[in-house]
Amino acid sequence: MLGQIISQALTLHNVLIMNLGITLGIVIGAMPGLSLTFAVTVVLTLTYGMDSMAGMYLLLGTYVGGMYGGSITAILINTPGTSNAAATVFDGYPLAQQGRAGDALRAALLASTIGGMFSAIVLLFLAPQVAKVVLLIGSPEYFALCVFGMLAAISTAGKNKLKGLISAALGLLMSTVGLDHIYGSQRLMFGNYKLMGGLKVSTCMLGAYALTQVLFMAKNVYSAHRDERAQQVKYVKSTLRLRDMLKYWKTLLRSSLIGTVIGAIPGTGGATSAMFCYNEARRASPNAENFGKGEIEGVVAAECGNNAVTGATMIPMLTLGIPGDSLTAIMLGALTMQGITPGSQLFSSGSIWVYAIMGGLLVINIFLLLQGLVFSRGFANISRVPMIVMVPCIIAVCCMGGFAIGNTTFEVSVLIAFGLLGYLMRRFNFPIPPLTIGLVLGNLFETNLRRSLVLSGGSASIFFTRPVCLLILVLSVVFAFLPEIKDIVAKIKASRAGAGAR
Amino acid sequence: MTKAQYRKAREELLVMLVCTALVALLMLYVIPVLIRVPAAALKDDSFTPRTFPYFLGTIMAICVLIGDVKTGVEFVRARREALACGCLKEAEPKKTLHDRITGFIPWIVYALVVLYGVGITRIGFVIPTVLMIPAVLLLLRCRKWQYYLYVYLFAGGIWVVFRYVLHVQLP
Repeated sequence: MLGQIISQALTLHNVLIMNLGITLGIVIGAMPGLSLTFAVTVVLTLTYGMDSMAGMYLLLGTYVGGMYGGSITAILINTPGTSNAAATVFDGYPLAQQGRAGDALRAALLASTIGGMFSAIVLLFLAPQVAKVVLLIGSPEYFALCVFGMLAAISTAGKNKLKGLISAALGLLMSTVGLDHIYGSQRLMFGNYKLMGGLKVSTCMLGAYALTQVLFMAKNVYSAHRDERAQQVKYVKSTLRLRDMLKYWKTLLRSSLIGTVIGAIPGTGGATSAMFCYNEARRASPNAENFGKGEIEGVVAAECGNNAVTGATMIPMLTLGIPGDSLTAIMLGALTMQGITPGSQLFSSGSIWVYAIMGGLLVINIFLLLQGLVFSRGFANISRVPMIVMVPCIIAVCCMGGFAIGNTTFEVSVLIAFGLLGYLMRRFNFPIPPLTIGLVLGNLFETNLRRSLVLSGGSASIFFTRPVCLLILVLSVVFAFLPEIKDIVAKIKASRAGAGAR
Repeated sequence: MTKAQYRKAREELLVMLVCTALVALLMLYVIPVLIRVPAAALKDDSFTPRTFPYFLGTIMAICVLIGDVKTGVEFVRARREALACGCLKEAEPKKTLHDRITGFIPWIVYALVVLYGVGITRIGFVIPTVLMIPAVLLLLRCRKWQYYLYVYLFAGGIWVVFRYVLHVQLP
């Protein structure tokens, strides 16, 4: 089987696609202001016409490359290319100012690779086991897991949970557009037969993320008149070697573990993981006082932590078909576009596709290391690309990509409509990830809700009388509203303490 | 309390009120009119094609009502504080023409994207792309001719990739 996986995954075509994805990911990730979600959304348009394995390799390459690419601008121009590299700035930029930009970039690269590979190995061994457990659960539990996924997405909205909930409900509502699966009646189609098959998630995401990003970018470019290149610290060649990194083995191991655990939890992500790992590294380091002033260990912890989520985020996506964040939601959208339904059946069907994907992630991390070592100077120059050039380029890519998704100009109209929706949502602080995750999860959500209610004869008590289902629902609520619950508990404690003092 | 904070509170309230109106429209018009329930479903099934949309509409309705109350209370508090400190009578800082235009830039770019989309539908990709690029760059006050060239090269490259590598029959 291993031979089969290798022969399918490592064809020349797939290897080239992986490397193309990594390059695109690093390039987009290294441009300040463009998020990793944006990178994966734009690259998604190129997966049209590819077979599912190559398409996934392209997206995974972009994901892994973009995660590392964000560190380049963090180190060289003190601006994280993506939010995942926010913690890399703390020590990366001071190192660059000290004339050690090359060392910081090399440390980021090696740590990213180690974190990514660790996570990919965990995915490879853990996902099949999780899939076996998933086979045992019924519709009510699946519905509860969908609720968990949705609430996890809402929890990323921070203090805007109410708006997050509205956004999620809107996403789920939009997923109902088209023909009803059971009765075949038209739903929210406004008489347009082109909506019969429903809204294409990929087009919606391209509009909501990429086109929206362009509108905000245009405003920033105009107000700052940024047609000049960003000022960056001079790139100095690295003297750091792999064996120099080995002295940080404890930090690498700790950050890999933390990143993998955080990545497997829906609603978290690379930024949370990197910050957590950075703080843990500072707490445990004998050089804690040097953190923030240019400590290689700080860069190592942050970069290892953010890349260690890459494999772990795939666990709920591949085994349950539930995206943990907007990035995996896009990948899920791509799989749906290819006609592949993620879930436990991927593992039980005997197909090697899913193993080739997981093994491919491991290989992608190796290519990331190779590309980073060979082209580090070239990648360092990407952060100097002026933003003004990117605005019309992205508009053209979005429209061509939107057309390619459905092979019809109607998709371009949907893309433009979602661009406006995304702009208004961002302008008025409605989070976009719950909307897109709702769009992806909608069908699964409704199907399992329907099945559960049919099983129980229309009674919602089925969700509260089955222990596993109830446990998942309680955990979802606790997980999503943890800060609010903590506040309430603190207030109760304070009032009790006040009453006791009196 | 500053005038900006007062304005923010007012904006939040207005946004929630607009959302309330939209949710009301959804529940009272969109779902009943745009989702037809077959007679068989009405007779035998407790889960009709409308059940899930109504379920979501109800969640949205609860959220917007809570939001109305919350933002309403915040607005009243902000107004009271703003009146007390007299900051509502403060003179507006004078906006330059540049500041005024900046606020409209996303809308102008969006209008260009819409025109681009219409152009694609009517006459295909090539001519609208050739026109869209300088329109956007001129709007953003790009003065370097090299940048125009780079964008044309990039757009041309992407067109070739879609057309000849991915075999997408772009119109």
